Amino acid sequence: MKTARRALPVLLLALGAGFLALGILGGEVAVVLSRAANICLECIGIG
Amino acid sequence: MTNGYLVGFVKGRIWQGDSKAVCVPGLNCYSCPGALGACPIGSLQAELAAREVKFPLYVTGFLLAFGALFGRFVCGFLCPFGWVQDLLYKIPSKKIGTFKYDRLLRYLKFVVLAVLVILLPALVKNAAGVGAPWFCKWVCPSGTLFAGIPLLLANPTLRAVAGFLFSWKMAVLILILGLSVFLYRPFCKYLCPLGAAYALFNKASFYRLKLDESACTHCGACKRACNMGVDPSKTPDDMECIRCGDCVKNCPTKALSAGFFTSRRKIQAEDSAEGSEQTESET
Repeated sequence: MKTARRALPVLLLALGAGFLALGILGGEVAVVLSRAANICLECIGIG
Repeated sequence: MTNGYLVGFVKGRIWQGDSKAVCVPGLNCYSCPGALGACPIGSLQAELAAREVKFPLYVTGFLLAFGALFGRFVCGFLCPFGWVQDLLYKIPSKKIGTFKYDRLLRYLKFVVLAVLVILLPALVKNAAGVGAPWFCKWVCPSGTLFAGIPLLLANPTLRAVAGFLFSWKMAVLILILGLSVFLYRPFCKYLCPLGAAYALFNKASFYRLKLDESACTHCGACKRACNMGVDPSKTPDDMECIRCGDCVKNCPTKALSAGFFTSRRKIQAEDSAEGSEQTESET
């Protein structure tokens, strides 16, 4: 139980890195960039 | 540091470089004129609302990584809107420590995360199959403060089209900023979906609080020092702990410490204690 608790952050970090890599390979970076590089009208209370 | 594009504030425009594809750890609107990176909550909604993304692996990966490394340390030290609330709480006034439904209301931020950030952007789509960033649109006070106000001040075209939505968001912002004078970090406690996401990692992050139970006298100094209403002598890994370190500073016996891997020694000690108990029972 205690060993599992010690391993959990390592597993979560590895899972995060895996998700990130898959997201990059799947072209999700372009989706985020296209949204973030233009003024989000909803965010500023216009759209 | 993540809002270093100062020209944007003067010219009323935003940074459009490639660094905008990378999420920053805190709630930092990507439409803030100074923002060099992307807000993870805004990006998560953008991915869920997009037609071409089935599951938001990229932003979920960021959240998992930041959460596993820091937990809510991000809220305590890396969030610009948290910092603003901290400053407002320093204004001398009568302070409200807790109230009747305080603990119950803390769960509201999980509802905000589930409904406004995940479900509505993913499920409610227009004719073109694209959703909207519901949290950013109707709630996010960070976007109004760091993006809406500076952009509207510097950009007359945007100012001309501001209407009901901007007034609504200003009202939300003013309410939260006003409350922050009397109540410690009300947005972080009750509404922030990013705080809710990181809260899930507090029990399993590398950065955490460690309690040396042999040194703790249960004097209650840590609980009194905690503005988030946590009792670190009982629950050092509480989901509400933003790792600000006030309890560590105020512990008279130095029973509390914070850092990376700080629970390791304690866990090893417990492991060896369990091991020796097993050996004794076997013999």
